[in-house]
Amino acid sequence: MIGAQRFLTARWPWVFCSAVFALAVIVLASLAFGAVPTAFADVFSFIAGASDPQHQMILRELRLPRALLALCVGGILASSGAMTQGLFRNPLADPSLIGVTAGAAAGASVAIVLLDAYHWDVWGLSLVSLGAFVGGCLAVIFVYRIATGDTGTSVATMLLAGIAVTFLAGSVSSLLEFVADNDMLRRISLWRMGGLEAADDARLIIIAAVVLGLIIWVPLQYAALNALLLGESEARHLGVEVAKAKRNIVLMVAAGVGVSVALAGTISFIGLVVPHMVRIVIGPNHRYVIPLSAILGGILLIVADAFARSVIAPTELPVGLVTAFIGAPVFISLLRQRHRYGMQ
Amino acid sequence: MECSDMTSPAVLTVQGASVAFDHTVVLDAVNVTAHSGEVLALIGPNGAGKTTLLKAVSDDVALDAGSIVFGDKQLNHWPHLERARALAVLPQFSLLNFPYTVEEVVALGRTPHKTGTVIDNSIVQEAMAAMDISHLKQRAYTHLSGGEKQRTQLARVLTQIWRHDDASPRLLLLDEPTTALDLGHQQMLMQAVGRFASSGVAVIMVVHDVNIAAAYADRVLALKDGKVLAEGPTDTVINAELIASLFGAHVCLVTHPETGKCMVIS
Repeated sequence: MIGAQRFLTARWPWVFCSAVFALAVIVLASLAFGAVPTAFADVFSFIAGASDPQHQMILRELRLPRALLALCVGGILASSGAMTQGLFRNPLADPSLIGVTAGAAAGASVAIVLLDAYHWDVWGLSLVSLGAFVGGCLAVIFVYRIATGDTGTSVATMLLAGIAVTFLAGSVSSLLEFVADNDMLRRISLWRMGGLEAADDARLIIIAAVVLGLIIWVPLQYAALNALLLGESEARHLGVEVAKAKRNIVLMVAAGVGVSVALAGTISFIGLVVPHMVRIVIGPNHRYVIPLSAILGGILLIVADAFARSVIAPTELPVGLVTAFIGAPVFISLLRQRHRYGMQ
Repeated sequence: MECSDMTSPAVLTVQGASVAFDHTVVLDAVNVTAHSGEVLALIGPNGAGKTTLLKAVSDDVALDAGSIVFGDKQLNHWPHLERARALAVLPQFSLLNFPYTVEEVVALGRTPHKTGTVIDNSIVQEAMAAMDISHLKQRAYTHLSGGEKQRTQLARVLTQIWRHDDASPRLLLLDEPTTALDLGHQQMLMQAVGRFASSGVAVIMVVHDVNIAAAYADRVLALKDGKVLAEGPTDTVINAELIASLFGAHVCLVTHPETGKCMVIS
């Protein structure tokens, strides 16, 4: 495995460009999948700007935004997973560990049940999305505050606080479900299973802004993340401002995952499995793991979504179900083999 | 000792350092200086405060009283990066559980530097050769034995302050560097540390084994219950009385037939 890692990292620009190319191909190929039969030829004529109005409408208004949203959400979830695993020095960590997912679910439930506001829009976003984003951020701030004392932020305390806040948010959600009527219950459970069908230009602009911010900001943390794998005091002795790095990483994960969950619901296993798979191929260096995880996460979510909307067409499966069904067995097989590639 | 003060300036001066955890005094008004080119060993029984003193010097533990001056300023007034280029710390245990290759771990030592990949890579290769781990460089760190891990970590730490050009003064702190090592690699490692010190680095190491201190340290600081019991050149400080009062153990001191250094036999 290490021979392959060396081969790939020595040719990193090529590896990166090939991955981006594969991603572009997958985005275009995914446009051919959906309820209305579409041939690859139709996709090509759409790219050339010469398709018939019906296909033009479906591809431009429905499938392209959806593929791009899947790309952004998958990329954010997978790269956030890689950062969380680096921060916790645990290859089995997941962004939801710091409470963001459960907080977002509670926030969405509040919006659905108490505000009864599924159809109210603010800047083209439903209140449910806003509720989810606010809930996710509040949960992370709470976890971070609990774990931060006079001596700095304890990652171990953050893990435990994340569990506590996840339970707390879970009981808020359950309480709301208890008082909700049937219609609300169905909306809550559908939101929870995750879906990308609400993709539109407003959502795309919001998530693209977040992605752009992360593309600029995350690479500044590569050296800190790499040093943090040695341990916190080791990283400090290597000149890393550990407290600041931890705060930045938590902030980036919260903003990224918060927006993803707000726009697409809870989509599980991408953040856990993808960085794990990437590390097997290219080693633990974050300089390679994070960009490659982002690309592979995007690819996987696009493929899962294409599968979700075509397998029982014209009905759609929630994409969160698909990722969980694929992700769980893959993860279990990775767990069973991890000693073979040096993971402990 | 006056002589060594004259020739090499003090890299580190600790004055009246006191640390208490929950009202238990761990360090009690400790004074110590470290000079470039010199290996200083901290010895003493378990719980004497050796590791706490090392942690205070590496700024992991804050002093309740006293001061630590490193180079020309207070230790905690140094900017992060600048200090990391001058002060390297070998921890007692390593938490690393991600499968970096040995070469990658050693290269992490260059994190605080901006000297470019060519220089960094040649330093990494030299440090790996000095620690006898060049043949392991493509192995996963997580697959190494305890001693191989220790040598890899030491190579990383040496890489951090390898060149005189990068920083002056330079200080190396080692917490029980030889614990996991076999006899041959103990010798190799301590000789490498000695050579490193002669290149103008001040070395402070916590050692469990008094014989390692006797054989390789230029000076010794003996701690008991957080207080300095004795301090000075190795051959004058280490004697049967000191060992008895430090460890409560009855020992015999003999002279090494080849090196002429003293050895402790229990």
